[in-house]
Amino acid sequence: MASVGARASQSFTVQVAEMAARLRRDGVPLADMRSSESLELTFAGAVEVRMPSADADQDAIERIETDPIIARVVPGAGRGSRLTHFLDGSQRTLQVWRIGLVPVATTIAAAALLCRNAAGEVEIAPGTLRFQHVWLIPRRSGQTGLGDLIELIEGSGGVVVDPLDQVDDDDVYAALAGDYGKLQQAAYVKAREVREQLELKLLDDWENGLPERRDDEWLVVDGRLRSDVRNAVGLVKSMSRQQLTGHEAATVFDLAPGERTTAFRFPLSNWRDLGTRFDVEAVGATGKVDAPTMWYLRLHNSLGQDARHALVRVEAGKHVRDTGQIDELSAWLLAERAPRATSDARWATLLYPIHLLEEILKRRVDAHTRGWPAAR
Amino acid sequence: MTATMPIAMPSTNGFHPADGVDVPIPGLTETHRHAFSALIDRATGQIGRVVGSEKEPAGSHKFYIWAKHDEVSLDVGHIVVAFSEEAAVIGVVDEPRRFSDLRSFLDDYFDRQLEDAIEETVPTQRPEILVFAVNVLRTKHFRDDVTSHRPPESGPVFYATPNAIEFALGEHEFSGVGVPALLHTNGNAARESTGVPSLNANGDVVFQRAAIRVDSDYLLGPEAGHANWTGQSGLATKTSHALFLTSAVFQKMRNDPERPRKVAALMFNVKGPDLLWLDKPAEPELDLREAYAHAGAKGLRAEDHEAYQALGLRAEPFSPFRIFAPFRPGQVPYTHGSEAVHLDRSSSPTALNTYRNAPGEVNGVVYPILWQLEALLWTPHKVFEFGDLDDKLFGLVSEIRERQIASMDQLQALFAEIDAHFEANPDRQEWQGHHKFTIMKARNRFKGLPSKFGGLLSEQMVEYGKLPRVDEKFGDGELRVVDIAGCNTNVQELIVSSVITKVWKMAEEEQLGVDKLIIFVDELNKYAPGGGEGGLRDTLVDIAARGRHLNVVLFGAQQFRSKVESEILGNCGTSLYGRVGDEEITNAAYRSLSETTKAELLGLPKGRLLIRHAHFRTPIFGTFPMPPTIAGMAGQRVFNGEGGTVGVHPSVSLWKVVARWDGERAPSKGEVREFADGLDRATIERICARVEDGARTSNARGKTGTSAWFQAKDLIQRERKRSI
Repeated sequence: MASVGARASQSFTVQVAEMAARLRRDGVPLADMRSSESLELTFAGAVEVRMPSADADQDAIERIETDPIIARVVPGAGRGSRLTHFLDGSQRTLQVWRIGLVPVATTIAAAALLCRNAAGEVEIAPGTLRFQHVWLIPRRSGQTGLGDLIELIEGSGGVVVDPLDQVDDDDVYAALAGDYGKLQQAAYVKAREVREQLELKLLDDWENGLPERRDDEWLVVDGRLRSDVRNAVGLVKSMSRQQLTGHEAATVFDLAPGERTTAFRFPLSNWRDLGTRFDVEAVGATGKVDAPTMWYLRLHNSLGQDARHALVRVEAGKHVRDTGQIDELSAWLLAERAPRATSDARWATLLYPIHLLEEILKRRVDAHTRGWPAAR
Repeated sequence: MTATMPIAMPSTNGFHPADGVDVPIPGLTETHRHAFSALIDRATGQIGRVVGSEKEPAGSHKFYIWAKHDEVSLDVGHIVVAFSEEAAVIGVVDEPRRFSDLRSFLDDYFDRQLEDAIEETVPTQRPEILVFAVNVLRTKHFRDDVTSHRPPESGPVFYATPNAIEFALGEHEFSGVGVPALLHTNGNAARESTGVPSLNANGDVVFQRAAIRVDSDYLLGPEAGHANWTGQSGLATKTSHALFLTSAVFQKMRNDPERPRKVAALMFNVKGPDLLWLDKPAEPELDLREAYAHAGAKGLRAEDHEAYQALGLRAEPFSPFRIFAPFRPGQVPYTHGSEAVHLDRSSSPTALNTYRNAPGEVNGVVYPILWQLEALLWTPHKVFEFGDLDDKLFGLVSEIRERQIASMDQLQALFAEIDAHFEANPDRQEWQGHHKFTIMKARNRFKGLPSKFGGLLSEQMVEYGKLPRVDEKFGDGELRVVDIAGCNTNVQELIVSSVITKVWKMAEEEQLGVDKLIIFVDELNKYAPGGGEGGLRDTLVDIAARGRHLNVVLFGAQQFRSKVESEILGNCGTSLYGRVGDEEITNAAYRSLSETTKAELLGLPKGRLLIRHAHFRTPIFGTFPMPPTIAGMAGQRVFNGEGGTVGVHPSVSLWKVVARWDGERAPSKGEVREFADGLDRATIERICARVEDGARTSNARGKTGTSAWFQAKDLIQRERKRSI
């Protein structure tokens, strides 16, 4: 983690206050925004609303086990689960100041692997807790005072990331840099990328054998599986996008508790997120060769609930194709239904170890920003 | 004595050479580590962390810690150390609670009610933390001249060493002698000099123990004084601990190198033979092992010996020890034609109303209490019924007292004189201003006194001669027991009231004979009921209020603390609680105790007590060893030959009688046994009584050369011839 202040023992809140005092002494026109809510709260639940479109290319889907995709009861009780590690990340993006039209934000991201022993006891796997503290400031906005701020931060060892760094066109950059709302949105997206990068690094470590473990131990990643690694599955809780249509989609929504769909693959071009490590070139050639294997799984009874209640999408590496193995992985995941993380509204799709990891990471991030005005 | 806490305390506990180099402790600054190294058990290491939240923040008197998962021995009553910015905070662990993220009990139920049976384990255990409240005992600042009240910060927690416990209990502030009251057991291991944990014979770890001492200046005065025990009868071990503490006081006060002081105790035996064998050791002598075993007296256990050693005490019986008892009703001695009853000539030990009456076990130990009428005339409100004692009767009693009527015989003579007055003056209705009906009433009531105070009141004058009296001066280390267990309530209240009043008067006149006198009164709720008018209430309240200045301290015990006069309890510098019943513990008298402490008291085992003391900021649990003397019932079986058990050989009684009168000329115990061998117990007891009477008579006549052993041998030989 980068240290911003002069003294490492100083709290982040104090460091920021000292920086503000110094900048004001230097004549930088700061407007304090520290009491505003974090960007995670600002953008919580925000989805891009657009007209529904049949954007799933059904021909591109590879149906691995059955064609068409059908429902299947997961056999076995999931005993002897080898799901031993869990990966998740957390971030908190704070609005600090406004200089002219430019909002200055800072994000603290944390990610870690939770390790579970045979007795069911969990702890952060040694050496896997990662922190990243980044300031989100557009470098080319031309706003007076921003340069002084960036200099001050980088001079004390801090890290500054431009939320518009992927915008090459100067006109577009200037337009976005002059739009307060879009800059804020860009900062949030960049903050999310910072956290995703931390998670991806941990996934790389897992692929490289870190932390130390037995060969048959598996990792559960909260969210999409962003890299084709061995012995890892991703668990997608949100169903904002529907890959299947027609009867196959109905099959998904009709899944009873403990049932899964047969597996399939999906062209990567439909994937929303950046940063995927699946072989994009290969996808371009075949549309499906290196895409992850995925299937839907109903964890709990959805009687009287939304059709997507307790429904998760499981993603595994391309090497996972065997029905027996998919059944086994599904059974292991079903065994995770208890205990339930009922203190979280997402408990129906949230595995308890992931919930624990989230709690740990949130507290770590909170500890780092103790005393921040927005927390009061 | 003024004890001061050394600034650099010796690191005898917690850190040992075997621990290796003096390495940093995570979470603890170098300054803290250097300043407080002797307070924390570093060998065991960190056992938890201080935790404070918005709802339950750390405070000056109470804070919270959570325990490490593998620290399984940490429990209620243990003493731990945490740290504030510049001080170590030492406290007693209390109120354990386990926290998890389970929002309701139903959540767990539904977790377990999927497809799997309830026995199925879930793949992930919900993390649970065990949180304890810690009540602060004391803080130690970097500087000795600063008192810190700052709550501990979030940070490491360690077990306290004996040094820390000693400091936390304020021993450095003691102005008197430290008197061991209880033994505290902590959750950390005691360690050998090599640093490895000490193990007992079973291979189990021996836990660290430390003495809980009380300041003699706050137990016996003058700073504070008095002690009180509360708890259920038979379960709370109140009397056992009172005896233990009395023994500890005797030993420590006598052996104080700076200021040795004489202490004595006066106790009232109110139940069976409870306090009658306090001169007999708990551990049998060699020739009494079988008798002890048959009587169920198991002696001291290994842990008791260890505890005595750890507390720096000897398990020794009380000596000198004397019992005073009235006579059995109907067995008050009477001398025909004589003006006075001479107790030193005529009283028989078996006539006394006490369970301790075996020949050989009474001589030099058991003495009579017998009053003449005079003593009763000074306390008419205790003698006559409330409804009877009107102004007229009170006036007549005063008249009798002023005429110096001292015995029932003299009173009868007075009534005869009054009768003659009325016979001579049939028209007169009064004698000396007292109406004849009042006189008739008084005569009737006085007539009933020998029966009402059966065994205590003589109809004649009473002469004690050289016999010790219950209200005479005390000797150093003397334990004086007044046995009222077999008496009726009237006699009990009158004796207790009278003896205490007289002792109190002796104290006011500085005639106690010792520096400090302990008065132990059981059943305080009977003698000094809260808000009531108990017979002794005013005297006991006065002792509680002023006793510490007059060197008299009250050791009181009762089953119901809530029913005892609050002025007495409020003046007690030391309070001990044994097992308490649930009806009792809901009373306001216990409101200052935490809920956990109250719950502990409900099920407290024998030998474990909760102590409050003037120097302790919070009460502490501790244990104590078995008393140094044989239990009353067992003593009765062994030494009084009761219960059909094998007791002491009857010849031992004869030997004691002979030894007492013949002194150095007396034969050995074995010689007496050999000579008396074959005679039954009853015969030997008869011989004992005759030898005792003979020796006493000879002594009274000044014939000091007569040998009791000579007379005993003569009587034995006669018995043998008679049986042939």
